[in-house]
Amino acid sequence: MKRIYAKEEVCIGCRLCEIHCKVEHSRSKNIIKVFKEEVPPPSRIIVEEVGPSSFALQCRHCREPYCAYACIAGAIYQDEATGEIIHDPGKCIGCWTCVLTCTKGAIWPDLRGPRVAARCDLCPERDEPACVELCPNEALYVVEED
Amino acid sequence: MAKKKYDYLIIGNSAGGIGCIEGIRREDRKGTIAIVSDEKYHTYSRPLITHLLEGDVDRKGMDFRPRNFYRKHQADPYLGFRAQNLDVKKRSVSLVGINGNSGNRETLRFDQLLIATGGKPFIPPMDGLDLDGITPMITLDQSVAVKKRLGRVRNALVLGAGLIGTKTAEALSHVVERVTMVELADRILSPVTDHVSSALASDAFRGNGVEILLNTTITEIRGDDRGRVAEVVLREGTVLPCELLVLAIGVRPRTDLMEGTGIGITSTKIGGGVDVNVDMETSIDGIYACGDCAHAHDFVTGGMKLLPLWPNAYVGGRIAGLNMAGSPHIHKWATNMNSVDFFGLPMVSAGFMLKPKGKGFLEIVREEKGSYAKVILKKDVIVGLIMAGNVARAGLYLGLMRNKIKTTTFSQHLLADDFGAVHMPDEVKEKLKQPITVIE
Repeated sequence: MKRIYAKEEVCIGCRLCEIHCKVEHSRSKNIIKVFKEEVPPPSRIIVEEVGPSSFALQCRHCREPYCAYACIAGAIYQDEATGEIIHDPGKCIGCWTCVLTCTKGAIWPDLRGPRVAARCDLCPERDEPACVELCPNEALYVVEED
Repeated sequence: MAKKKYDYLIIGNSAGGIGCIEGIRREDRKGTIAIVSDEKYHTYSRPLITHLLEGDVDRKGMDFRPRNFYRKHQADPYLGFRAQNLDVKKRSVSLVGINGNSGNRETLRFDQLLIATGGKPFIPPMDGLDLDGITPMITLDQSVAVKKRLGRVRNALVLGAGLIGTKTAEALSHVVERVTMVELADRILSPVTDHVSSALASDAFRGNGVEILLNTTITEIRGDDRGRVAEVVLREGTVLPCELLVLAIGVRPRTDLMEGTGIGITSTKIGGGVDVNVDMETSIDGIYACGDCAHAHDFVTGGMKLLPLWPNAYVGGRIAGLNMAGSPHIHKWATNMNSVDFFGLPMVSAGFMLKPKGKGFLEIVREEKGSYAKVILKKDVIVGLIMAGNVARAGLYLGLMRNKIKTTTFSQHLLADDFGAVHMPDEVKEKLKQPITVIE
């Protein structure tokens, strides 16, 4: 399955990946509209920074997905064929149990309404995830692994 | 009388039972499985029954797994059957059809058994309990029954302001004119809050028209001339009208099936739970238990205790299933941990809610308008967490708690907006980048 990793030595903490993630998961997918007219969704990737060191992380699509095990609504499951973790916002009730049990801190409350959890879905409508394709430093890359 | 034999028999069709099927099938595609429930329904998300009552989740939204789940996992469902006469020597249990299955009887034999019978409402003896319009709120049927009678309810009263009581009151507030919660403790949600986060939740309830009465309880229930609940009398003499009374004082382990069978049960002040090891096996070989009926390891206190929480039931069942199918696993994943949202106020908590007495404990608090965060540390290891209003990245703290990571070098950042992996020691940071491959 696909997993996104970061090259810390070239990540400059510009957070453009967060911007493009928000645009990709917005209603209009228009960068100006998203930030000027809409309420932007939470970014599914987070860039942390202290001085020169930075750290980018999104859903790890864990082989043992605590979020799916803890979900009280049956809204999170592991795709048997790909191993990908899938979240069904239609079943999500926004109880935030996954936000608490994801020890990566990689699931975010999307409070735009309906209030549901948000996490990296690897951009199913794109050939390559937005954060990976649009990082100016090619600091994010996709790995195919178990 | 037919006597079928299964490799795996599961009693309970909720989180624990489903987790067990999924655990077994990860290791064993062939072994035969049966799953039994006295409820006649396809597996449903029990914590969502208050959402069904309110109407923001429909009946289909209650399904915990897709409708083809049993077929896909090759598990025979026996739904609408009460299990009784468990014989651990003959390794058999009899099933009696109820809920439309009346008259059907079966005896099932098994190699291995999971007991995931859940909890039953605790209802103290009181006069008037037999009146119409009084109900617990732990099953789909109870939720549907309340929904049906809402037309004649102007005043609803919820006794008990724990998780079930508060979620019920929240749901009722959207569909009933007046809702009152009555709680014996000095704050609502006491098992999952401290006084500050409880007050934030109380504000959310009061702001949405729910009245909260603390430090009191019901001493008398009175009915009308048609046998329906009409009013209650509180300890101090106040009389409150109510056409609906929901009893949500607490839930106790449902262990009737195990009593007298030789399966070890430890009594506690809130009822006896089935004893298990960390592999979820009871005192009898090949018989496992999980969820609200059983004890579980608490990774904060290190002891075995009742942890009647949905995620604990699922993971306990899953680990039981893996062990039954021959893949050794232990369950040290759970603690007192909860997440909930009231009227748009998110709240999570884990471990200790109040700083324990004794040396070595330290509290770090961050309080702002509408939000609150607190960690309790013991020798620099997080042993308690409360977040309300803003719960983003709560899981980072839970991970540090479970893995007993010393926060010595980064405790000053713990509750900062930008707190994250970047503050943590390299080995912790490296681990965060990798997917989780072992339940621990």
